Amino acid sequence: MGAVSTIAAIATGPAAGGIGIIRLSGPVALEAARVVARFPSVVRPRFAHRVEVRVDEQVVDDGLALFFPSPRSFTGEEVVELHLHGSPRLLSLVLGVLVRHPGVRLADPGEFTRRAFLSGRIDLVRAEAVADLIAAESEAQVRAAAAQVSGALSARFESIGAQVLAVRADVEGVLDFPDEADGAEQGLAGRLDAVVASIEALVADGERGALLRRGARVVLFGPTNAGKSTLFNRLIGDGRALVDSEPGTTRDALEARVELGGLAVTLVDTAGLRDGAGRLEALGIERSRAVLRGADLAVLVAPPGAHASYRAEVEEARRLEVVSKADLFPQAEGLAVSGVTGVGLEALREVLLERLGAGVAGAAVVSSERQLEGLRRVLTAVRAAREAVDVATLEVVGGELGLAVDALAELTGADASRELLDAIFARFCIGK
Amino acid sequence: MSTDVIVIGLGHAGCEAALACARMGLQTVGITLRADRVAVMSCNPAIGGTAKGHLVRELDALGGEMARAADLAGTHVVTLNASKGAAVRATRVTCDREAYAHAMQQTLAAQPRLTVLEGEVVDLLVRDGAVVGVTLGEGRELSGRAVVVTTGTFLSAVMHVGERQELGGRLGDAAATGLSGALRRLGFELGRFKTGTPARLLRDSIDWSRCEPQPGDPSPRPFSLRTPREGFPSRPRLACAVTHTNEQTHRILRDNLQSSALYQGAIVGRGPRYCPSLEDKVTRFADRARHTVFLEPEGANSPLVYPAGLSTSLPADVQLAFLRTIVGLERVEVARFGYAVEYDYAPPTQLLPTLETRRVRGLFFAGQLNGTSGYEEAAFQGLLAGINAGLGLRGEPALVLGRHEAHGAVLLDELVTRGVDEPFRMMTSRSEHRLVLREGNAEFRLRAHGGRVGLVTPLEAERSAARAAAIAAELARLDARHHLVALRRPGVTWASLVANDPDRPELDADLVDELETEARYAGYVKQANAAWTRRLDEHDRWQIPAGFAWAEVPGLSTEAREKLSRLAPTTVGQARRVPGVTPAALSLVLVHLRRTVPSMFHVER
Repeated sequence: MGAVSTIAAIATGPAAGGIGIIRLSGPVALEAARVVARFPSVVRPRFAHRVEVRVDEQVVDDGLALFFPSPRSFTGEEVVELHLHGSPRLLSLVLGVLVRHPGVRLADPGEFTRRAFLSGRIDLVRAEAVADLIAAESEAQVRAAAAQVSGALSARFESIGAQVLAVRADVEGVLDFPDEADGAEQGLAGRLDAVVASIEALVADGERGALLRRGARVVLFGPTNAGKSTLFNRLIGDGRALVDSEPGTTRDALEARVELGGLAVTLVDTAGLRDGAGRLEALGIERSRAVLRGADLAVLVAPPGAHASYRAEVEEARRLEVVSKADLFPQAEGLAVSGVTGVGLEALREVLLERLGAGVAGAAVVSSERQLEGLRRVLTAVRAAREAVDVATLEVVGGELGLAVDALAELTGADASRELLDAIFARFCIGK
Repeated sequence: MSTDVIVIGLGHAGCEAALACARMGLQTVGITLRADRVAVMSCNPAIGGTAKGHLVRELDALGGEMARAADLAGTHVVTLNASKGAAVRATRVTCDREAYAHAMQQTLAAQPRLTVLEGEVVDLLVRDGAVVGVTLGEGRELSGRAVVVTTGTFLSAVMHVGERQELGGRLGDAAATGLSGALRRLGFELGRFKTGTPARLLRDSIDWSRCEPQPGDPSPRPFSLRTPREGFPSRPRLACAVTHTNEQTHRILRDNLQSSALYQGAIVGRGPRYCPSLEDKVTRFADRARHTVFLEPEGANSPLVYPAGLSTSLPADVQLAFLRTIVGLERVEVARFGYAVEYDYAPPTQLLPTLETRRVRGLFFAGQLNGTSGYEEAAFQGLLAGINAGLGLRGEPALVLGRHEAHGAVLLDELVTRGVDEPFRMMTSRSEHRLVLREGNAEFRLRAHGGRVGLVTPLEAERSAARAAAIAAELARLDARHHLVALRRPGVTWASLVANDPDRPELDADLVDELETEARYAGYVKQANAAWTRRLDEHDRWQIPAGFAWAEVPGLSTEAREKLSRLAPTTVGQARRVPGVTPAALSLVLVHLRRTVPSMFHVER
C-alpha cells in the first residue's frame, strides 16, 4: 500500500515519425521495461543500450534503451526511455504490454512534468510556467470533454455505464441487503455476456478509430515478382498528396506517405518472401517479417492461386488479399488489380479505407489511447466478473464489477460510489 | 471538579469512548441525562448485520465492548450471506434489550477511573482554541483536558407521532437543548436529520402460528474473541418470525398519507433511504404487493415485540388499523406507537480523521451526532474517538486506520472526506478492499493496534499473532508442496486435502475457514490490489497544513475551490478523493502547495 505508481506514455507526437519514444517513470520502470526490452544484465546508467524489443515473445523492433536512475533523471524517479522506430502501431503495442505490468499505468496529462516539478527537478522559478501549462492542459481537456458530450459514441459510453451499474447494483443489493433484495442476482451470466459484447464492439471501433488519429501503416508483402513494387509505385503515383518518399535506411523496405480518402497512410513495400532463399536474401526476408508485425494492415499481393503459402505470415484480422497482374489474368477471382494498367486500383482504395475504419461511427468518440486503454480495463474486469459467476462467489463478482465501474468512472469522471447507492435504493425497497 | 476526559452522552458511542479512555489509564467522567438509560437500544433489538457485524468484530479486536455485551444478551443469532462469500458473511444477534443495557451498565460501573454522572451539559468551555471543560445544567463547571461529544439523536430533538409533536430524543426522554447553541457559538455548522421507529407490539397478542418461524443458528459462534466458547450461548434461544403487509395495509397507508409527519414534510430533516417509513415504501414502490415484516421478541421476560420493517409516524389510530390487517397481527395490541425523531447533526467534514474537531483542540465528535445511523457505526466511532482522545493526552501518535485495514476505517474516511447527505449506514460495497476485510480475520488485522493503544493485553495480542502465524505457516507448507492450486478448486476442503498427510498441523475450525478463504481469494486479492496500486500515489503521505488557503490556488474551477475550501482535506490523497477534483485540479493544488509549503515534499529515498 502507498507505493508510488510507475507511469508510462508515448513521449513523441502522434504522427508517424522516424523515431518514437516511450518513457517510463517510477520505482518499477526498469523492471517493467525489461518485459519488452532485452537489457543486458548489467545496465549502465544514462547509456544507450541497443536492445531487441519483443511483444509476446516475438521480436518487433530493435531500438535503443536508456536507464536514468533516481534522482538524476527528468522526474527525479527511476526513468527508462525506449527509442523505437516510429510505427504508431508498434509504439502502442509496446505501451500496451508495459501497462499490463501490475505496477504501471498510463500517465495522466502533464504527469511527467508534475513529478519532475514535485521532486525538485524543475526549480521554483519555473513554477509559474508549469502551473500555466497545466492550467492550459486542463482547459484543453475541458474542451475535449465537452466535444465528446454529444454524439453517438458518448451515448454508447453511457449505455455501457448504465448496464454495468445496473448489474452491480443488483449484486451489491443482494450482498448488502439480503433480506430485501434476495433473488436479484438471477440471470447474471446472460446479462454480463451482453455487457461484454457491447464493450467489445466499442473497443473494436475504437481500435479502428485510432488509425484515423495517428495514421495507418499499410504493408505490401508476398512472393517475389508478384507485382508489389509496380502496385506500390502506382498507389504512390496516383496518391493526391505525396508527402515524401525515401528509400528505407534502416530496413530494406520502401516507405511512402500518402493520403487516402482523408486518412494518412504510410505505405511500405517489402522484399519478396521466398522459401529456400540464400542467406543474404533470408536476412531481407527476416526484416520483411519484422515490418509485417508493425503493420495495421498487411496486403498480400500474389498472382492467382499463389496466396495460400503466405497466409501464415499475418493473422487474418490484419490481412487483405489482392490478386495481382490482373492484366495478365483477366479471369482472376477476388480483388484483382494491375499496377501496370491501373485496373482495380479504385476498388482497392475503397477496400483499404473500409478495412482501416474510415467512417466508423464510434471512431470519433474513443478519441485517445487513454480512453481505449480505460475501456480495455473495463472489458477485462467485466470478463473477470462473468467468469466469477461460474467459478467463484457473488462477492467476487461484485468486486470485479466494482473494478469495472471504477475504470469507467476514470473515463467519465462519474462519482461511482454515489451512483451505486442511488441505483441500489432505486431498485430495491430496503428497510426495517 | 476536574478530570482527564469528559464524555457527553452514554449511548453506544459514549460507552465505548468512556471505557476506552478509562482503560487507557485516564480519569474519565461520562455524563448522561439518565443513568438508568445508559446503553439503551433505542430502535431494533439487534446488533450486527451486513457490514455492521464486520464493524463489531473490528471493534472487538481493537478492544471495544459491544461484541461482549451482545454475546451476553443474545437470544437469536443468524449468519447472513452464508453462501455468498466469506467476506460478506455477517453475524446478526437479536438481543434481550434489557439484558444488553444491563450488561453494559455493569461494565461501566465496574470500570476503575470511570464515573457516571447524571446531568445535562449546556455549554463547552474553550480557551485558546482548546477545550478545557463543560458547564452542566445547574451552572456547575467540570474541567477536563479532552471532551468527546456523543449526543446521538438528542440535540434539539423533536418527536412526531402523526400531527402531534413534542420535544424529546426518544420516547420517555428529554431532549438536550442547550448544547446545540453552544456548538453554534463555537462556529460549528449543524444540520437536521430524521429517523423513525415502529410500534412495539405485545407478544401475547400476536398469533405466532400464522407467521413463518425464523430459526437462528443452532450452534452460533460468539461475537467477541473474549467470550469463552464454553457455556455460550448463555441465554435461552428465542424464535423470531416473518409475516408480510398486504394490499389492504397499503390502502390504509395511502388513504392517510396527509397525516404522516414523515411523509407530509412537517419534518425538514432528511431521512435514511435504507430505513424508510412504511408510508415511504408503499408510495415509492407502489407496484409491490407486499413488504416483509420481521417480528423480533425483545427478550425472554419482555412482553414486547419489535416489528422490523414497519417504521411509521402516522397517528396512533391509523397505526393500529394498518397493523391489524397483517397476517398474525389481526388482534395485536400496541404497547407504544411508532414515531419519528428529528435531530441536529454536525456535518462530519468538520472533523479530522481522528474524529477531533478541526475547530477546537481536544474536542471530539462521535456517533449519530456525525450523521451516521446504527448502533455499530456509532460504537466504532466512539471507540476511535476515545482512543484518539486518550492517545492525545498521553502524547502518543494518533490511531488512524487505513481503508485496507478495516471497514471502520472506510466509515471514518467517508465521513470526514465526503461528508453525509443522509444518515450514513455502513455497507460492504463502500470498501474497495472488501475481500480482505472479513469478520473472520478482524482479529489478525486489528488486534496489534489494540495492543499498541493498550486496550488489548499483550497476552491476547500474542495469541492472535500466533493464530495468524499458524495460518501463514500452513499456507506456506501447502504452497511448497504445490497443494494450493488444489485447495482453490470448488468442493476441495483443507480437511480432504490433508486427510492422509502425516505432517498436517492441528488447526482450530475457525482457522481452517480462514486458511481456505485466504487460499481461494489470493488471486482475486492480488488482482484487486494491483488495480488499487495503479491509482495510489505518494499522495496519502503528503499532509496539507491546517488553514491552507484554497481560495488562493490559481486556476482552480469555482466548484473545485468551493468544495476543497469546505472540506479542507488534510492530505493530498484526501483532496484527490473529493468528488469533482480532476487530475488537472489536483496538479494545480500540488503546484501551489509546492510553492507555498516547500517543506512538504521532502523526497524520501
